Amino acid sequence: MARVLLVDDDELLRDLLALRLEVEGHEIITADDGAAALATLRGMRCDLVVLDIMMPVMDGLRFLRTLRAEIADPPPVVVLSAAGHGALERELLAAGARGVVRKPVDPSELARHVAAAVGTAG
Amino acid sequence: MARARRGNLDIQRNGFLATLVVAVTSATLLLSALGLFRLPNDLLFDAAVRIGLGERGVESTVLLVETTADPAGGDPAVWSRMLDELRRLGARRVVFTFDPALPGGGGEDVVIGHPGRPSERQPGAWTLAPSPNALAAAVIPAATYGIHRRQATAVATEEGGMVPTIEAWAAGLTPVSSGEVFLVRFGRSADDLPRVGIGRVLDGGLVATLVEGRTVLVGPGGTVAGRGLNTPITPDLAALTPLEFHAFATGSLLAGAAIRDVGWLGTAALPLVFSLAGAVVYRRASPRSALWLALGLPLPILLVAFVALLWADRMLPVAELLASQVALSLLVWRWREMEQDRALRRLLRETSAHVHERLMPPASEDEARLWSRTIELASRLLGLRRSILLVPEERSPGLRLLAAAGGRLEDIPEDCRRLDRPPYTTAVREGDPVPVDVRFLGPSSADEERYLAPVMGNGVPIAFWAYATDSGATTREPGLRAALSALADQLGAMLVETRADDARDETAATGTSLDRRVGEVVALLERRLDLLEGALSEISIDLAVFDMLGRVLHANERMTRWLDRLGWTPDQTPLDLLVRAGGISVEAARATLHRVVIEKGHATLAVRGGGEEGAHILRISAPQGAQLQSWGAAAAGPLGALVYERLDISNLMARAQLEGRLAQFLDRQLRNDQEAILLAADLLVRPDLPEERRGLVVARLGQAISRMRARLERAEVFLDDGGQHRVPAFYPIGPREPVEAAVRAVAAEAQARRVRLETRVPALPNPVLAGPEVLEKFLTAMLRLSVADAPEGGTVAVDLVEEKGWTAVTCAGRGVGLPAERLAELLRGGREPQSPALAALRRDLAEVETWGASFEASSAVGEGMSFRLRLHRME
Repeated sequence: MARVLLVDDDELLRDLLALRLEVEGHEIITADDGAAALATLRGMRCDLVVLDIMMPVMDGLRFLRTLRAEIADPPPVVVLSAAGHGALERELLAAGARGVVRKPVDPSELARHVAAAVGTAG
Repeated sequence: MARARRGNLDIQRNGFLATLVVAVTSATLLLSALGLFRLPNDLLFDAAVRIGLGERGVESTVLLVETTADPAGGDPAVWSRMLDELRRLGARRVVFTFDPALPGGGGEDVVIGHPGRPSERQPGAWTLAPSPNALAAAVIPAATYGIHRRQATAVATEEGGMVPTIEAWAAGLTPVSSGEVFLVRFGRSADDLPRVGIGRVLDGGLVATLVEGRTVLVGPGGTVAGRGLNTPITPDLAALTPLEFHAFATGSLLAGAAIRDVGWLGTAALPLVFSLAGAVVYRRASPRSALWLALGLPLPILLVAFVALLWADRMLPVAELLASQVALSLLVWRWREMEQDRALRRLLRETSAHVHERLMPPASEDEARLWSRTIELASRLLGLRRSILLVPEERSPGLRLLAAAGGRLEDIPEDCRRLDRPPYTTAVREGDPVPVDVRFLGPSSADEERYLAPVMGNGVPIAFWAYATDSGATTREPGLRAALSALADQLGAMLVETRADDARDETAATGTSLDRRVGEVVALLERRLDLLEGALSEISIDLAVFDMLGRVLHANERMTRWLDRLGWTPDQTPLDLLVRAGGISVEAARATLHRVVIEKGHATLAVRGGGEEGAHILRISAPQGAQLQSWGAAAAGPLGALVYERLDISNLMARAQLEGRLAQFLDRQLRNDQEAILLAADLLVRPDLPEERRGLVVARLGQAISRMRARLERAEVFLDDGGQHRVPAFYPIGPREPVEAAVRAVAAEAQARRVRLETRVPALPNPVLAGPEVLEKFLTAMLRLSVADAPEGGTVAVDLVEEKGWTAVTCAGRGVGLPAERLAELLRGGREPQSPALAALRRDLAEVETWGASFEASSAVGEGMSFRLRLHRME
């Protein structure tokens, strides 16, 4: 079981994603934007971050860059993005994302990514 | 696990390196035992002697007393007298290199040499002539390679005993149980040795300071022709006499400066230590530094050897060390090359297997046409001269043609079509486009550059893309290199998709089954979404999104209808669309798309095709990164997408843009809602969802459906509000046409007055904000005034210049001119101009300024007039 920080500004979607990952046996912590997620990570160790891109206050890309700069030994990050290929995906990976899951999210694909990221994080 | 595998590999590599070191050291020692390194080591010793090995006080320990050529027959009384004189002057010891037949042997401080010669019966032993007084052997060892460098402290006799040499006696090293050979420390020249003739000794003319404490060697001098020894300091002349040689050898021992070899242990250990150190360096060094290492490593070996010779009196096995280093470096680099080759072959095998799994051969004519069209478009977009896409053949290392533009498979020689050879291996190793030689890709041309790029799919090379660009194009256009790389990525993604599409279909067919009721709700909402899209299409902009390979990712209803009217079909490219819509040449269309793709800019042109009422513009852009998301062009690929927007500029531009943004916003929100519904549906059909959570999921599903419904309703309300906006009198228009119309309007007047009109207008200027009719009238008036002011045979220049945010149209020429104040008053003051052209300018100026434009007029008597109209440029 891993502790997963789920970051998404859409509360409804966030709750359902959290439920889906709970069913997989993970402990879920949630945050509604990048800044809140960073605050959480400063006070708590998480094994994985599942991150949306388009968010108010601090978007996903900025979160990724800040995470690497500010948090020592940051957890792996799996990004949920509507852009499956292309420059954004490369930018996300360059900024430190462990994987990118295309939206609309296929729940089993997300579960596989999470399992893979948690498995290699340790 | 990966760490453990890497660890195992490291152990294997280190073990192999250790084996190499041991093998090299053993081979070196074997060759050393065979004497192969003797000559090079001796030559190195000679070189060290010549560059200044240093005397170390050898000359101050000895004195030479030179006798006649054959002193052995001399009078013993004379030798006794000489001996007494030398003792009186404080000689430390007197060494005769011959037997002077002194009565009683001469005393404790006298060493008597006894000539020896190599035994004929027993190799390695010496024969000494019988003599009752002989105490030592004045042996000159056999020269090695003709040069005397070494002396022994003792020699074995035929009888089996050891007899010390006179050097050993003189230095007090007796008795000796075994002989030792040492290298003589020669001075720079034999002339440095202090010497006197025997006559001077007998005459009592010798001063004590020259004798006191020294070992005096007495023997034949060097005046006799034909005798002498080759030594490192006299390699070309037989100039060192045996007496001088004995003097240097004795001095070396007396001064503690005799040079010894390091012995067998040292000869074995040093190559081993240096080889180990070399192996560590080579193991860590990159292939690029191989040459520098090969050149650089001998230097420290030579330095260490020289230092050992100079200060430690040790002769290191330098030749052995150098030879083992060279052998080791060659073996290590060869080994690393073989390792890389093995890795490359493995990669190619995996690639080949992967390709055969993933890549379907072109199954149909349609697919072949698709690839051909794709490569053709890619070439045109990026300005490539030739472009060939190659994929591996099944079950062979060969390559076959998938598509080509401007070239053919035969442009690549047959012997250059093997995956396991350069340049393919180089391209795979570099992971980037690599330059290829002139044989590759058809007839050579000096003004082009040729490259081969690996096309990667899922991290492995699955195809190769060869192309030719104008010489220096990648340097001139910084964006081109990135675009080429991105296009290669996109080709790889497209190749992989050929198979992945099938896989996805299968997954979908066997995937999760949704609850029937949820399915019905989703279907209902999707129908409403379709309705919304249809409604948006009716009032919004026409929109088509292409990927860079020309595939239509999205086209709304309005755009599709217009494309049909235009006669554009999906098997044509975005380039064809531009040609048809804008009525421009293929080259102009290519240049436009090239600019959009490479410089990430926008292009806008007036729509001429399609036979519709009203004014339209076509705006082309290449959104990147996050922007793609808002365009719903997620599948665009790494190079991004080409977005074509057709805007009806007879209506309010602002509204169209607002609606466009609304559509994007709604699209994103509705996608989230749809995703939430699907997630909830997935959870509900899972047997492992805890019962207590089921209620929560149902509630969330209800919320998601309600939210989507509400969002759709809000959107529909907005759409019902359409058409209530004011139509403006100005909008984005292409500035080229009004300028050209103005020039045409005054052409006859200019011709009548023989005034030449010089017009400079870019081929595809960006639109400006203006009313087209007023702008044309205003520009005509400007030009007419300039022509009227110009002298017969003069010139009026009309320029359209694009600046940041602005487009300026200027008319200028030399002419009669007006006072500046007068012109200003005529244009804006209380005085009405009589000239119709000036009156037209004055009349329309107020309206022109409502566009946000600015107008400047300047004039000077005798110089002429110039006008400048600055218009807002749409970017």
